[in-house]
Amino acid sequence: MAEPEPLIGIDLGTTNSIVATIQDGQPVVIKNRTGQALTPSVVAMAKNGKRLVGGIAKRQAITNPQETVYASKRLIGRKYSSHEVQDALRALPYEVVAGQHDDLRICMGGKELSVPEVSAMILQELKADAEAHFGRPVTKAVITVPAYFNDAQRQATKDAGRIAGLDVLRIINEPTAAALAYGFGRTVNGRVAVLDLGGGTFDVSVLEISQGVFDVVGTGGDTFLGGEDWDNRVIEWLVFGFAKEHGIDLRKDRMALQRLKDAAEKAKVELSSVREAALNLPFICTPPGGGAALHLQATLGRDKLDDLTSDLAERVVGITTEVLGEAGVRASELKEVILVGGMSRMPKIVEAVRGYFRREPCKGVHPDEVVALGAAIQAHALVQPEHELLLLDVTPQSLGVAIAGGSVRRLIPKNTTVPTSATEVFATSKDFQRVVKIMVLQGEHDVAHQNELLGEFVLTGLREAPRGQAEIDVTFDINAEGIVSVHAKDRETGLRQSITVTASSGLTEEELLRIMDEQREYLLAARASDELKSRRVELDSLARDVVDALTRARLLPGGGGLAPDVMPRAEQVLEHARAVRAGEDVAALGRASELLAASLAQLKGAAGSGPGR
Amino acid sequence: MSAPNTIVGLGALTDHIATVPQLDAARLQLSAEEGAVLQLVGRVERIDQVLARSKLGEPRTIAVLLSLRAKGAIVPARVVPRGAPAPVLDAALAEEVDLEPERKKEIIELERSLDGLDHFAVLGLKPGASAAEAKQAYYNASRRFHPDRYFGKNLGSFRARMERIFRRLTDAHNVLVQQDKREAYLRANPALAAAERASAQPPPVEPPPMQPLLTPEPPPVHVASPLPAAPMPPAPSRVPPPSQPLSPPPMDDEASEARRAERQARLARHPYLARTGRLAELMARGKAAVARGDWERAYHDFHQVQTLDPKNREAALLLVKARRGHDAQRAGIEVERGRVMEQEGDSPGAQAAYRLACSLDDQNAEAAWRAARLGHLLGQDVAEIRGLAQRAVELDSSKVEHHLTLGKVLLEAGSKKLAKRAFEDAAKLAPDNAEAKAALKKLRWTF
Repeated sequence: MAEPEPLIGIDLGTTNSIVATIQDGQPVVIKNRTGQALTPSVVAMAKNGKRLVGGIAKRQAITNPQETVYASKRLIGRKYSSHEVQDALRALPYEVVAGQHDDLRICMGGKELSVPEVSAMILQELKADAEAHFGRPVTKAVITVPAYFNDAQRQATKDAGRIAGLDVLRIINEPTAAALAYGFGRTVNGRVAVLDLGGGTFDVSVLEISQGVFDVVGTGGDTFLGGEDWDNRVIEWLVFGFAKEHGIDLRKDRMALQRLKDAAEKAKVELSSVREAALNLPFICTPPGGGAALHLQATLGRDKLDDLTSDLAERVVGITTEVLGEAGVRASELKEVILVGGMSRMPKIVEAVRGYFRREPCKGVHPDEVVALGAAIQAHALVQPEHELLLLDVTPQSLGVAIAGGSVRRLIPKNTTVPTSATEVFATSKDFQRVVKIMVLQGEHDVAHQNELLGEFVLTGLREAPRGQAEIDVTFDINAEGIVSVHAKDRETGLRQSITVTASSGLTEEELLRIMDEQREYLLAARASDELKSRRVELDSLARDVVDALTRARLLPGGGGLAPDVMPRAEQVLEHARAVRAGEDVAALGRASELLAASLAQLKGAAGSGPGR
Repeated sequence: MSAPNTIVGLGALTDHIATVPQLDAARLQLSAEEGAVLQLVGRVERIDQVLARSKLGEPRTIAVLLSLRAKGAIVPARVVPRGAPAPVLDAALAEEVDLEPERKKEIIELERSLDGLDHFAVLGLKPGASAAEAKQAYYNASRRFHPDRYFGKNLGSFRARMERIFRRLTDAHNVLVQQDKREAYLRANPALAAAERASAQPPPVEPPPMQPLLTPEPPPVHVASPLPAAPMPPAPSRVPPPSQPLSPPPMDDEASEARRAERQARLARHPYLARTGRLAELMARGKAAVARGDWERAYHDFHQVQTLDPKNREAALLLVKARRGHDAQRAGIEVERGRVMEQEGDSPGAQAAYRLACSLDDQNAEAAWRAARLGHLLGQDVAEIRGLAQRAVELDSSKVEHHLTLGKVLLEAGSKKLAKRAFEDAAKLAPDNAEAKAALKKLRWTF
């Protein structure tokens, strides 16, 4: 009986990633190869050129700040010139440059990598962990993204999945996944609010659950509000205090910055359980004019932290109010309020939520794991559709086109259930115009340039006709993942119109294929180098044994009854092994090992038959 | 001479003849006349048209046609009138996709009629349906028409059709569920508003003909159905008995039983569904059992609900109730058994039965009394018996025997005053009770 193919759900988070699957009808988290459920989303290029992913990468971040990339989810799918990226760059110790079409490129290990490539490295690590768990190759996965991610960010995440060699069945929203995991194994019939405050993003979703149908009523959020911002406030406070005392800006020193970041995160986590946390960073830097090294010592109280971050907490409540208001749902109508994400453990947040909803948030879900569990549930629901589980998700941002005058005509309003589509008729404005350019935007602003430009779609090869007569039907489709696609049809002839997509960020198909090839080569090289290493180790141990046996044989009187050519031959083989060891030929190493084993057997055999020890 | 009405070998005058495709003129060696007539026939032509247009004259043309027929250049043809819809339907139905033929037909028909349907009809509702009903209908319909249900299956053109249908359903749902949009829509379509008013009475009888397309599958809760028109099995018995809107549920006939059984088997295969479906079912069954008085069944069902869904408060309360009811029932049975055993002479067994009944149901006066009496006779531990006797009296102080037994037990225990009081109560109830009088006489001098 063929076993069903393994399906996994991946929560690709800003700070931590988790992979889960369904086992015996229950969603379980797959622990990684070091035994942890959470894998830090950190990638680094070590000084010896090796690529490190996960906990190892995080631990060596202090000594290698420039080559360690973390929080890449904050950059994925964004444009270099956007103000959020510029803000983030000020605090990131690694180097980020602009690529073509205003894309982002991260400089790591001397190469310029696109952000999906970096995320793909993390996904590859998770894929390897899953394969170690199942013992079989794993390809099918569902990956989660924040609900408020726009089309470019979702597409980039899907690209990352492809680069990692995964067949991404679906991209689903994190709050919806959390609701799925909450509703699994429980009868829930009613409205539920999910607040997901993670490492980098914040989402609120209101869902209506009814007999296996999860209908998202409204969603909203902020893709730049998360635990990192809390950390950054603490870092700012520390840096400011230090600068006041010693007059040195610690942010200039990358290593100090990394240490500060670690300390700030630790203090923040501690303050969720105790009232005061001590930060102690000895030898943080040396003063420029010479002298003893400086130390940083501070005590952060919970109240002080709340003060520093009060506006962030207010923003959380503000967005929640907006979303509930738009969905037309009162806080009292909700059956449950579910808090998801590491930051939701913070007492101030819990208090704010409790105060707003006037109820105790649900404690029945694990805030870190629930999103991955939901993704695993959805993966199984898709592949085995006899489940009566159905997700009716919505698009989080309105889709529109830019019209003359710099304003936006909204075609698909936000919170519309997907899959959905809208058709708009475009006509030429000049006689015999051959080309019509449409700018597709996603966002709520009325001014076109404040929204996110998904791309410029150029309709070419129009019929030659007086102006206004060549009419094109352009259909904008949003599929169930929230990814936009555009089709155009000539109204008169009904023929499909060719569209060229320009000025859209993200990887083109050729780039994707090229990157996938590179990844494949890298994996092959890694595997080969592993094999090389193991062969070398084997060779070393055999050589040591042979040397021992030779010494023993020499000590025995009369050569221990060995044939006269055994010892010289053994010495010859050792020489050969030493020569081969320096090289890279795996086959030669294998042969040398065999020869060594043979001589070892000869030496041992003879020694054994001699006078026993 | 006009042509005969029917030409043998070619057909009637109004019939058609057709040129055989891939005609090799050279091989057939057609003469000039034959060629000319063949040109007139073209691909397909009516015989009388050919005869009319031919320059040769009718008899000659007929002869030529017959010779062409002999040579195999033309054949009689029957032109089937083909209206536009039929080819599309056939082509679509013939498409190789992972769907059953009924589903394909359903999807095609629904898609074709989409534009003509108003929002209520598209969801399969009557014009007066409320927002909650619209939402429920939308959920049920999306279970059938959402593309995710056919993830990874080869659907060909049906995927686009289903997406269109789903989009229409979403639009209809959005309009009907939001009050302002709904009102605007009703204002725009006064016919619907009128129909809504007309149907504001108790549930009508005949479901609209569109309903079978979108009739939701009978939801698991068949006792409390949210829709006014009870979920009816489509196809065979479309018109339900008009006098039975809600009960007994139409689940009782065979076809739906078979369907339900099949659905249950399907449900039971998956854990998630097995839980949600079963829960509602179990609750319904449990409540029915309670109504019947079958406490044991009810207890089992509620207990299962409790394990599946620990948070269900209703189930917890009902479970307690069922347990009490069941215990009371068992207590009664035990008392009977005890009586029988006593008659047979098996006193210890009877006593055990009575004690069991007492522990099961502490509201059962008879059990308590019998236990006390038999215990007193057997000489068992007085303190316990006393408790039982007192309970019997508390529960049912109108029975003389209870008081008598209590008195006897109290006497044995040594509380003469209380015993006297008990006997006095007994005497009050039944003034000419010999036992009571005797006991009272004995205790006269107790203060």
